[in-house]
Amino acid sequence: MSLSPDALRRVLDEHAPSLDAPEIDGQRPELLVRPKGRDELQALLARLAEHEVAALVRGGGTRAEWGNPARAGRVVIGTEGLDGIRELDADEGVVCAGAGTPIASLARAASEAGWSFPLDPPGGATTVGGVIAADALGPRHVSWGRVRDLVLGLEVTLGDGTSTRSGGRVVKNVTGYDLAKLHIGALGTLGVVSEAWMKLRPAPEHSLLLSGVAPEPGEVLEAARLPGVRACAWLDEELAAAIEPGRELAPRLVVELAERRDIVEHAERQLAERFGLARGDAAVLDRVRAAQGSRPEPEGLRFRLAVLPTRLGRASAALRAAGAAWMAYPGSGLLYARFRPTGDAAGGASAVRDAWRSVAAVAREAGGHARLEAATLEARAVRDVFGDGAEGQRLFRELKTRFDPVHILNPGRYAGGL
Amino acid sequence: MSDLDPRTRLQLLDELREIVGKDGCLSSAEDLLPYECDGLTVHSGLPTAVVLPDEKGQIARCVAACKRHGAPFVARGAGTGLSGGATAVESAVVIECSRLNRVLEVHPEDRYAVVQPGLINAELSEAVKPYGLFYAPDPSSQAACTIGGNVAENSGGPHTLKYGTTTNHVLGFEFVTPDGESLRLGGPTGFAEGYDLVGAIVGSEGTLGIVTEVTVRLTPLPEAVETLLAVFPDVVSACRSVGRIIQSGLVAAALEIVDRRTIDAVESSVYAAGLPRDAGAILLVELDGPAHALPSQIETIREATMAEGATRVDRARDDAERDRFWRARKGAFGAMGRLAPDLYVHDAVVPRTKLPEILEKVCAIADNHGLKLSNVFHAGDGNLHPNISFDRRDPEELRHVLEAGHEILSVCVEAGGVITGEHGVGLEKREFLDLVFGPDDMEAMCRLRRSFDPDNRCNPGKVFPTTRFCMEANPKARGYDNVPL
Repeated sequence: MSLSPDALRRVLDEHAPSLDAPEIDGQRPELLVRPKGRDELQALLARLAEHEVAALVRGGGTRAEWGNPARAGRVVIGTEGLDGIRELDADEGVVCAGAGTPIASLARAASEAGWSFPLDPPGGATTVGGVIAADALGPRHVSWGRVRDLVLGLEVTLGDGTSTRSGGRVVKNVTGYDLAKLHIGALGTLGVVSEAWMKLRPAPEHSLLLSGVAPEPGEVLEAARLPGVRACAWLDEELAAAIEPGRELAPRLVVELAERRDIVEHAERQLAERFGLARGDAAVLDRVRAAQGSRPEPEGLRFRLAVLPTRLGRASAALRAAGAAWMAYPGSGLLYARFRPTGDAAGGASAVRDAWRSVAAVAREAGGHARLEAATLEARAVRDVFGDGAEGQRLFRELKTRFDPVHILNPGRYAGGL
Repeated sequence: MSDLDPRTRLQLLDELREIVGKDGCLSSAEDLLPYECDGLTVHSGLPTAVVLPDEKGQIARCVAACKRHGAPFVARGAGTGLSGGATAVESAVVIECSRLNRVLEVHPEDRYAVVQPGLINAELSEAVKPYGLFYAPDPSSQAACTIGGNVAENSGGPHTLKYGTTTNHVLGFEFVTPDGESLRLGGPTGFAEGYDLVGAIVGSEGTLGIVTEVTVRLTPLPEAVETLLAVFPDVVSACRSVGRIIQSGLVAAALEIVDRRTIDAVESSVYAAGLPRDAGAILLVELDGPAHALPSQIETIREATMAEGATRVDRARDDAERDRFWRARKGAFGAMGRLAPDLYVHDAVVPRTKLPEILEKVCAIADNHGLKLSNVFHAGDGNLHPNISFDRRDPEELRHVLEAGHEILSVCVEAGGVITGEHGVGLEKREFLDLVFGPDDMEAMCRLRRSFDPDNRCNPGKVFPTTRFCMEANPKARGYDNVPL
């Protein structure tokens, strides 16, 4: 017995709903609400749960099409009202920010305080909550950590309106369960983050960017692992030409060094002497992020493979042979594969299946697995974008049932259709 | 769940013997006694039985047997834990994994290893040393503690400042749920699809299930290591120098402070390291990295320490001297332990800048209770270990020790800290969980626990304030039924 649109508007009246809800993922939500603060978020979710109204949560929208297509969504919860840096402790190197805070603001504030905000995912409008929900990462993740290494504590409202905290504001803590880990990467399906305490990294004394024609795979790995390397990206000739046009058409290595001056200088010498890398514009790293991507392209498929670093050479060659453009972060074994769409719209689903078959085989051979990270709605509806390898499905369902009993949070978007 | 009735107990014992063999199942009173507590000797509980599997499949089968008979169980590694995590509550069956103690695979180029849960932490690092690698989380008990135990507690150690804790070094594991189901979670790439069960299980103190095989991240051994010892007139100046070091952007591998009371105890003992007795505090600094880069880092340390009034800063010239410096820190527990039959090692965390004021309060609390206390702490991350020497056979003194513990935790939480940085909540601090978390916070944690262990048989009585806590707070009371997918 679902509420009529008028009834829904009345129920949510206190939250000043607007009719301006953006279309998300094929869903046409009726209303947009922007709770201001945790208490309002709590009241909102409790109401939505009571009336079994599905909600889609939106931060900067840079990853609104990640995951499986949403199964329902009558209300969009915008997190703009949950923004703001609550506290930045420049002695400790930790920061507390509302979920709606753009990463760019955090980066600026950290820098002004003599620190660096460690997460550098692609997507200019990305918010703290979005980074957490998507477990988003950028080129610096290998040295500076992923979301799970940087979150100290979370404030989350669960799908029944229960507001909870876990972790804390200190850098070392084993008090209670590490619930934050469950919410990281969960695409908002277990709860809505309202606030996070996170670690900062010391601002490096010196940094510079080098690039050049990529050496052999074994040497790529060696280069990626040198002390002083903050980011290392390996791109095929197609993506290399996109980020540094006018160079020799060949796979490319981009290395960002950031450390104390003597370590950077030493690493620069080694990279220059052994692999012929030369200084480049710091902005190249932004183009690497763009090449990695956040939104889907207008058409086409972008897979993310996680494989063993020593097998990246073979895996990338196999992807090329299958018709994909690729780039990789050798330090962690992440490999992004882009397939162009076939001209034939009718062949769409079979093209997706073909691409999946190739990618899954490559990933398996390389000791890992793959997910379809970004693609059109139709392409993502062909099969579970998270693949079907993960054991623990029964436990995922148990968690979902307890954290979001009526399944109002981003229904259908997660692995297994949760 | 109360203790098993005698017939059920006998049936269970029969089944357990069937699984692990007669020699693998202990059930007589004198055989069980060594297992009545772990490193937290003030709490004890006799288990129904102790099983010693020597093959991972036996763990799942023992857990399944416990399920069939409604019996609680608790996993145990070396029993070195300091919060009572391996102590049997409700006469739980102890599943001791120390016979599963091998390194199974080492993949040096991909930097991971697959190991059994009973493998001793230090032995893992020894085993991978020939490849130029080590296993970074290094709790003080690493010569005895096991990887499985480290997973349960999310163990740290002095090097967490630079390298993180166990959760940053566990890539995946094979895991037995309280139903006896075996799952493979995570994997060597360190990326996994689905909810991060690996991340939720690390640090869950053995209450969600048992790891039976662990895939760990290996870290390259640094090219060079330097150890420095700085002597300060007082703790405040030592703490301030740590602040300077951190502000300089330098990430030290370890920053440890030892206070005057500890220096006194150490220098009066066989662990004497030649420290000046009139020192107010000692700061131990470890730096590691490329050899060419360390001299300038040493300079940074010298500047930061002298700027805050260090009376001298020595650099260890060789391994023997390095060991001597570390003795000043590692000998603390041994030295304090010699002052009385028992040692209570507290474990709390405060924001680093609050350390000096908290230390003053901690000492005052100990003095008010007439207790012998000294302080050793991981200065870089605000994790303090107030240590109290006492005799637990003296009920008055024990009462003071426990009350002082409560007061210490309260002042730490008031300062923005938490009640445990390394040892876990376990039995020891479950009554204090509500200093940090409210009822809804704890209830959310119960939802995680119930997802794995609806019958509350997996290491009952740990983490939450009462043994029945997660059973009483039941979301079904809110009127929601399971929604079919």
